[in-house]
Amino acid sequence: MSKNLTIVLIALLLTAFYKVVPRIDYPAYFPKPHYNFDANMPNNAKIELGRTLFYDPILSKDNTISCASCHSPYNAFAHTDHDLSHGIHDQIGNRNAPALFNLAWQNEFMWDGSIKHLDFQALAPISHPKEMGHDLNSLLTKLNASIQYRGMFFNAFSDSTATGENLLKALSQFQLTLLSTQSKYDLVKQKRATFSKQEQQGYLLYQKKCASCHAEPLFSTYGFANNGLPVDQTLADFGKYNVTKQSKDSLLFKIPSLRNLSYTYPYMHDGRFERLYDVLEHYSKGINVSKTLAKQLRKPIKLSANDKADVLAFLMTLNDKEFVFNKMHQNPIKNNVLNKGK
Amino acid sequence: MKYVIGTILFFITCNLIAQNAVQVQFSPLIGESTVRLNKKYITSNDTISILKLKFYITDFVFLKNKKVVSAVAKKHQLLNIEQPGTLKFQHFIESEFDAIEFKIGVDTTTQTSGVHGGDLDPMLGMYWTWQSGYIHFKLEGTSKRCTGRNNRFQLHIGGYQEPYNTISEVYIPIENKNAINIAIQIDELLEQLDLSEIFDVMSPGKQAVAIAQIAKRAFKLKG
Repeated sequence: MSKNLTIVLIALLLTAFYKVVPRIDYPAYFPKPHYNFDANMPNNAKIELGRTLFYDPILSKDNTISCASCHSPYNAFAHTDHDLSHGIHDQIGNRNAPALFNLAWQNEFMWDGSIKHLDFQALAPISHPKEMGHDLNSLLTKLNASIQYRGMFFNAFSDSTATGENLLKALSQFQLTLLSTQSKYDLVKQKRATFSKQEQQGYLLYQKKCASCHAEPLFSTYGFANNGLPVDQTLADFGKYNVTKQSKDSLLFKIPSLRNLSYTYPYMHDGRFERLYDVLEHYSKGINVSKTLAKQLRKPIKLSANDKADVLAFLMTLNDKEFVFNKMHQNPIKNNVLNKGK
Repeated sequence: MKYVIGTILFFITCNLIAQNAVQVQFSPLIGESTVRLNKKYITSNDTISILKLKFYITDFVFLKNKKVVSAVAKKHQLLNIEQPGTLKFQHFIESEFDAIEFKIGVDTTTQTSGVHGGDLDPMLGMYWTWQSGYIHFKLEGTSKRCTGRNNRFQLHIGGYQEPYNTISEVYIPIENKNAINIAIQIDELLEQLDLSEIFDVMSPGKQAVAIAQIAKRAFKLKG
């Protein structure tokens, strides 16, 4: 009897010291995430380190640009009001920074799918000469010279040395906490709210005309498609083709989620559409037919004025205020080493 | 008396184990000479120097009758000519073997399972930043034939997705022995390239595939 009690007491003691692990919480109607958490176990210290790094312009060569410079928390981590994002020395890139949420369900990143795992995504903007203009080794040298960061790395990984592996894992951990699952649509799905008549009409139209690429509940298959955008000759961006060099991938871009659209204008990989209305107009009148055009778009998507209003009303139900205003995602000002308040 | 017997047995065991230690050495060579960085070498049709040589060896195994009898514990090793200690390792093997096999590069499973540390850490300069993938084999240097800037060639051979998968396998029959010296004939590798045309390979593609095949043939048993 006392032996069993000892075992129970030891077990309780051990659980008391077990670090609180915030698992990502998602609704039952979501599919299982792709990200392998076993390879990168979440803990609060890793997430906090990742968040601090995300908002710290130390990641850029001249300490002016942070991840948040293009991925703003109040805009669902997109770069609002810019068609093309800009980096150090005010250089303008050739793509619009996409919104960041529900990343655990994605396994190809960037508009052209060049990055195949969330862990490696940060290397691209860190090293791009027009974005952060930096390189991994110089960045690690800076981080290892900071007592504050060494302390944070130690708390997160039991190793005070900042390595490429640990830097990237911490950034992944923070980004994985960016969950958008509490929009009105989600409340309706959870039977805690109901659509208005107009929103319901819009939902039906969406299911008929948009859902094959923008499938619920993520509102994207996160696959790639050519949605008929005429090539912008000043950019000559051929999307996935740039990476694979296979002609079947020409003009294919990643299908973005329809969640949080009010916060993430302008739209498309080069931000060419300022308003959602323009997007609907493109699908009804502006599709450019080419060899790789998605088969769903071989015929334009015609919507009456009423239909458009209904669809837009439904799309508004995908905005997630909880996500956008969540303080846990915002700049941890008190921790900042080189915060220039951007 | 117990202690005397014990000590004798200990040393006998040690000797038995010592007999089964195999030293594996990779030797980058130009002709018969060990490659020294930045040194000029005159070959039959060229004057070359090597500035960088870094590559991954994965799944180094010992075989007998085409079946694996022993595998090196460290699955992925980054060999860097700047750090001679990385060009050799020791492996303890009990069984007999008649061949070795290893891959040049990082396997697809590892490439698609997130960031790794140690020899696979991206801070070691063998991971592409603008697209996912490890550089399997990196060779940089100068050649009189090369029309690039400062006669420089930079061959960063990588890619794991079809049809540009450039991971290669090397199989070498070996007589059971304690020291295995694998030569990497850099001169032979470069001789087969038209360096006046191809000298900057920095992404997966047809050129990388061709060079990977040439590179794997440069690995052979020395003496």
